[in-house]
Amino acid sequence: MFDILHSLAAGFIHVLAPVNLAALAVGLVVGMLVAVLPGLTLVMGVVLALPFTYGMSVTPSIILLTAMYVSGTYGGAITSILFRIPGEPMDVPLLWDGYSMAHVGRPAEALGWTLFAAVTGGFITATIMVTLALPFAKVALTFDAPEYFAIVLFGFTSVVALDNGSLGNAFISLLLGMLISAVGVDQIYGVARFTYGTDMLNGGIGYLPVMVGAYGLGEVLARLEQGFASPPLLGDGKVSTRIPSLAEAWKLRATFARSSLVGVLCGIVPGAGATIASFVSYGIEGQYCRRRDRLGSGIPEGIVAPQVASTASVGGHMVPLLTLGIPGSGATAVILGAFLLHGIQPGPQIFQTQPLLVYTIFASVFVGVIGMGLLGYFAIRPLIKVLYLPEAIVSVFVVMFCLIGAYSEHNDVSDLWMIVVFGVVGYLFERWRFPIAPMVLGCILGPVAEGALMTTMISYHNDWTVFFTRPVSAAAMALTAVALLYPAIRGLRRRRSVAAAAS
Amino acid sequence: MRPKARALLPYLLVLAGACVLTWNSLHFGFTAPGDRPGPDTWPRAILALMIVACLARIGTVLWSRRDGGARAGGGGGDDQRVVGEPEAATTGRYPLLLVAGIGLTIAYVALLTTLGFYLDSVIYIGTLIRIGRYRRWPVIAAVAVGGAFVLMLVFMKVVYLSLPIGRPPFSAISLAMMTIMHIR
Repeated sequence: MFDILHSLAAGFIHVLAPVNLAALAVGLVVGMLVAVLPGLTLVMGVVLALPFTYGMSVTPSIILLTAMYVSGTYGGAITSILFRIPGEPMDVPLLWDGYSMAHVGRPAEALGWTLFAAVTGGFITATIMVTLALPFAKVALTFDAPEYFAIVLFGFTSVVALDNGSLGNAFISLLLGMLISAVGVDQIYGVARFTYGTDMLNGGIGYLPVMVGAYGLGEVLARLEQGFASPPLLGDGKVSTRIPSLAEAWKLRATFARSSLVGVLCGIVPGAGATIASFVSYGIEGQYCRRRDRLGSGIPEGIVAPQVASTASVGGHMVPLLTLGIPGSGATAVILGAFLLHGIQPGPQIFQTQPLLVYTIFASVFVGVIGMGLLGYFAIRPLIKVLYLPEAIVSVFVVMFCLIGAYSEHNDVSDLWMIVVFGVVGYLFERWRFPIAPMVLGCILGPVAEGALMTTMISYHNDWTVFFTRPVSAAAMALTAVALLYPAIRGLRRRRSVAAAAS
Repeated sequence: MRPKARALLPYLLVLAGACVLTWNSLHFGFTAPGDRPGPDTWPRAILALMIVACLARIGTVLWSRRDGGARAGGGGGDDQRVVGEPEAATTGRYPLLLVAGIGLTIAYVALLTTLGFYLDSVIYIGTLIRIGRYRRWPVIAAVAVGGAFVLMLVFMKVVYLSLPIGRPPFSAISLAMMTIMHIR
């Protein structure tokens, strides 16, 4: 332990060097900007930043990209809460309580809780990353396709189980999303599915047009139908960021603990990551938090859980990347690319060959979390002012960012058609009271689930029992069953108590 | 439309779509070797679940006691608000505005490669703000012209995104803007 602390202290000294500190600051600002802009994903931002690191040495390069990654897990929360447009898939759960809280005139409180959660999650993940890197990585290395499928399935059931009103509608929405992700050339046999001979569908339907269209354009269309007549949020126009007090935060200590654990564990599992962590932690709160009946109505637990888990997953992702050379997400894959560009292969040996580099990266996460907190606090105040602009003008620019963001992914106008299609779908979902989030989750994680299931079936000769005979996948399957059964049992109890009260 | 029919509509639409896609999935024209699951396994499993879910929902709507019994979980109901989905505003509805907004967005996308990003965006921004019942014309004009300029500057100059410049004679406007922005 002493050796770790000694190396970390050296890392802190190194990260405070002007070049590294400048890279950190730039990374934090750009990461937050990219995440705030709807349609511009964090991974896209990290990819765009990669060419700028070619001329830099390896340490500031990795610090810059890691800082973008850290602040990017927070920045998207701002647009989720203020405009109901998730900057990233991981920000979708923040729409529920975050947007609800802002919608009833408490945007500063919602943003304050998000910022507090992001900073807390950041510190927790950085600490865990430093202390438990190697042991956790060894466990994750034993995971195979059945474990991936079981964990993704648990993510699916969690988001469906959240729907207290209509489990069926949420289930149909999830299946629609999974079906959308199945369009295009399949990943194992290379067979075109539901493409009807069109080039537009051959490459599949990305989650970005679905997410941005359904949430961004769909929401604007719904508001347009109401004549952009939303009531003003606050009468006096004076809004300030309200960071929760330590006493308020202490009341949510169980939420912080649960979500941090989920975030780190999901981060360590390659492919699981921030999005699953965010959804699963929200789902767990729906099952276990004291005020679960009010979840979705704008309570802090619903904001803290997904945000803590999202940020906590960063450290989890960095562990297998640094100790095993396995990237667990798109952003860490780009960071791995930056390592390789500088002739460094991450892996267990990097702790012997480049200890200063590793611990400088660890230290940069700690410093980056502080920087993210400061930046988030001062950036929130001017951003809240945007709410007081005429709704028609703000909405038009929301649509423009959605359209340009989707276009920028492939420089292809066909993505804009997808935005229009899913904008109308999003509007219809809103009108018919189908939740959009399960569709988006199904679209994002559908390929992961399909790939894991197909690999399992092929590898284990169609033996379905493998999901229940391997410890980790069996545990995830058991959690899935609990997630599915618990709402039903709870509903049954509720109906019985209502019937008893009536009689 | 009667409340029950309105509640059934989304499930019937999804069910019809699922049936069509199931039929399509039978004709992928590829057979997996041996007893391996093929490329149709995953989508057909999803579609089967979707059909079952839709039938279950339709059954719930049809067998519910109230005429609007679909509200217990169907489309258009008021008492089945999904957790986290904020309450819809209870203000008036303007379907014509919605149709105009969708039509304008379709036109924007369709004309993007012809008019170019700048001109198309100026028209789109200005018209959509006006459709959104904002009436201060000087502000609309300034926001449309200035907003399109700033977007073009940020995405072409900073993000290095190649936005459509349009076809002649409209491309002249985009090229003029690029000259002003010192974009080659």
